[in-house]
Amino acid sequence: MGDILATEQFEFIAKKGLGRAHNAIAHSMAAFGDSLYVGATSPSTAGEDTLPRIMAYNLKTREWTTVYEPELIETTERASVPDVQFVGVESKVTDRLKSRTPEDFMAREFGFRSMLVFKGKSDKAPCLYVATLSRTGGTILRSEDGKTFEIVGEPGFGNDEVLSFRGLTAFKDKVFVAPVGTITNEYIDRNLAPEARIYVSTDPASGKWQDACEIGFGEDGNRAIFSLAATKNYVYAGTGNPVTGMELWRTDAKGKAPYKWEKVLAFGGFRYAQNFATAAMAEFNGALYVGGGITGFGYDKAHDIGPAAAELIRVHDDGSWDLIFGEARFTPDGLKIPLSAMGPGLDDPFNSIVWSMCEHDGVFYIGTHNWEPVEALNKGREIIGGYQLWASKDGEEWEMILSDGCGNPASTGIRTLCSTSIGLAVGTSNHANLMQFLARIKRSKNAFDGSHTGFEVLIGHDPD
Amino acid sequence: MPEPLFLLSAPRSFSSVTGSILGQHPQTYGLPELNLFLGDTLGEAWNALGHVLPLGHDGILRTIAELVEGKQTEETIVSARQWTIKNAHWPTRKVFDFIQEAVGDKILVEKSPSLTLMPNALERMYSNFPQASFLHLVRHPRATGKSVLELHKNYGKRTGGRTLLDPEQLWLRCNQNAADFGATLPTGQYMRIKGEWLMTDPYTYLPQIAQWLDIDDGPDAIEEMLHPENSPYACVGPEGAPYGNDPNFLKNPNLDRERMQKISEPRLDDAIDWRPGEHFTRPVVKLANQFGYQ
Repeated sequence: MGDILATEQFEFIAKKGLGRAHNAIAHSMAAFGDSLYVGATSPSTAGEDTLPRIMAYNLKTREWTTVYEPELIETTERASVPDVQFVGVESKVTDRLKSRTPEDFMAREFGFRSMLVFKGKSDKAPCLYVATLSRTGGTILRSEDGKTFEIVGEPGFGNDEVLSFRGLTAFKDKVFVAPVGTITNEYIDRNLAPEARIYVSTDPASGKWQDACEIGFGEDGNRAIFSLAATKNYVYAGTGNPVTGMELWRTDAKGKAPYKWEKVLAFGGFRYAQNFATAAMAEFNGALYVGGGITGFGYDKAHDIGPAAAELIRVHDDGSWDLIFGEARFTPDGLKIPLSAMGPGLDDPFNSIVWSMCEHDGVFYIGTHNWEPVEALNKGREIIGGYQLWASKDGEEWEMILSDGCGNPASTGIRTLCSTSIGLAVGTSNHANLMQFLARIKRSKNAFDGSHTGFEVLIGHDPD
Repeated sequence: MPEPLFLLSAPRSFSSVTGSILGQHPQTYGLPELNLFLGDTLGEAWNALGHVLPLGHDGILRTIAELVEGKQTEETIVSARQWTIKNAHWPTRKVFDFIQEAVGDKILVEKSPSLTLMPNALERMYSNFPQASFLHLVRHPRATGKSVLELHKNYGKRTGGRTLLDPEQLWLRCNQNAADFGATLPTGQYMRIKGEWLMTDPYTYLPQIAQWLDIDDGPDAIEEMLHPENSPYACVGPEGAPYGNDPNFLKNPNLDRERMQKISEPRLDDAIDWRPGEHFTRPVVKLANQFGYQ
């Protein structure tokens, strides 16, 4: 086991969206071949300089290359539909968007939500699979060489109202994935899919997928599958449930799909809707860590949930669970006192999502989404805050490594983490455009300019 | 001396039975409703009670009679009343310290639902006891509201027949104040429990509460807790101070386990029983959801 990476071991390898301010989110990452691949999402695409990209960072030469850009297709009415999270909240923003003259063309994809290196039945060697965000229906891309990509399978696996897929997860000889988000001619919901499904395939290159579970595990409240992760013995699926709180299910995936699933957690771990959804999950030291979260800036407008900060829960192979940080409580499963001695959000009420997790060199890292800068703008205060990176050697004692968006408060979240051969990669999410707009309407002295925009990637370098 | 445990709850949330159960643990001492944090001194609290809750004096009178005179009779209640007049200038904390001294090395368990109506009373409680434990006891708003109206129907005259805050708003105000107060405390100092859980499954939740308070969670201690009738305050008191707890509980303090196990949680989405055709407001539903009610 290595030491926890120190703050000074981190350096930026990408800033300002690598030249594209609209590339706001390093949405997915994977180490494939000699490179770190980054899927950069552009929440709004209007013109070629806004297109999302898949970028490769050669870990030896330390150079970036664009390996994939979407095709431009004729604009449809789906290009400017309102976002359910902003309805009635940022009406001035949405009004402004609506008043824009639509471009003639739009990008077929506007982002890349999940990546996985996997060798399926038809693959001669491990391939890079990438889940796209698309207003014409999310797809899966496949690449053998990391340079050329092909779409495998139908948009939305046959339902073009599926915005995207997330949680590409390998388990034994299978890959699992869940649809995420809905796009129709009336609205876009970036989180809740038309149906809470999980798909499984042993051969994703063929584009053939099967249902891995009953829709929503048979429960109406499970509006979406938010996370998938595998441990040695199980595939776990975490739901978003605005009615009773997130649920966690697992299967050993034996036999034919759809598999038999077992409910491990319900009622948001008895924090109910305040644990609206699982947001990130990963195995560490044989246990599954489940990070929770509320969509939006700590408050889910669509379901009137929050504000509340996120929790971290640890689930053991025998189904028992611990609260790592969060709200101490009595439960049917026993007294749950946070083992870290920290409350929700690692004692920071603005850490609304545990957004990413990764083991690197025997140390477990988690990245947060922190909305304090938005709150500061709204309240006319000095803008502070931004993402945080925390680390632990045992999953219980935590140390903050990076904070305040590393000096850029518009960097509100660590969207993805990836262990590479040279260190830990940290990919961020950026809200400079929104904050610039808020600063203007709030007449804030704080100004956001080009230096604050675009995703960033840092590497926490391993000692030589 | 140990730090006290304060129960925070809206009225009619199982607080009398819960306070008495928790107060029967060998390492605790259960008190009736003292309502002391309505003022900075005993006199202030006493006077404030006259406006808010005419029956609210009974708890302090019974406590003083029990602890000073060793029994609760009409005579000792008169003495207790004289004691409160004499010591009306005592700061609230001094009154608690006096009670603690008399009780000895046991955790005082106190509950005064009226305090949750007033955030400043909760702040006063905290400033007097910044290390205390706070247990927020909740009950479904529908059941709470029905119980409030039932009690008012039966005992309204004794309370002066004042117009009640709508039970729904009473539930919201008390529970929101308690939850907001709890959110300001360090992790673990404030905990919340559904009264329905505690009533239907005490063997699951009483040990957890004991663990939280760091007191014996063994079966013997839990068994003692299940006999609230053994509390000196779990009966109708002398005429000068008959209550200090829910009158129904005082008339029948023995736990009816069979009945308790049948306690269920009604639904939130049905029409409100006391306002036919209307439904709970969104703030009530949201807070109730947060507590785990559907």
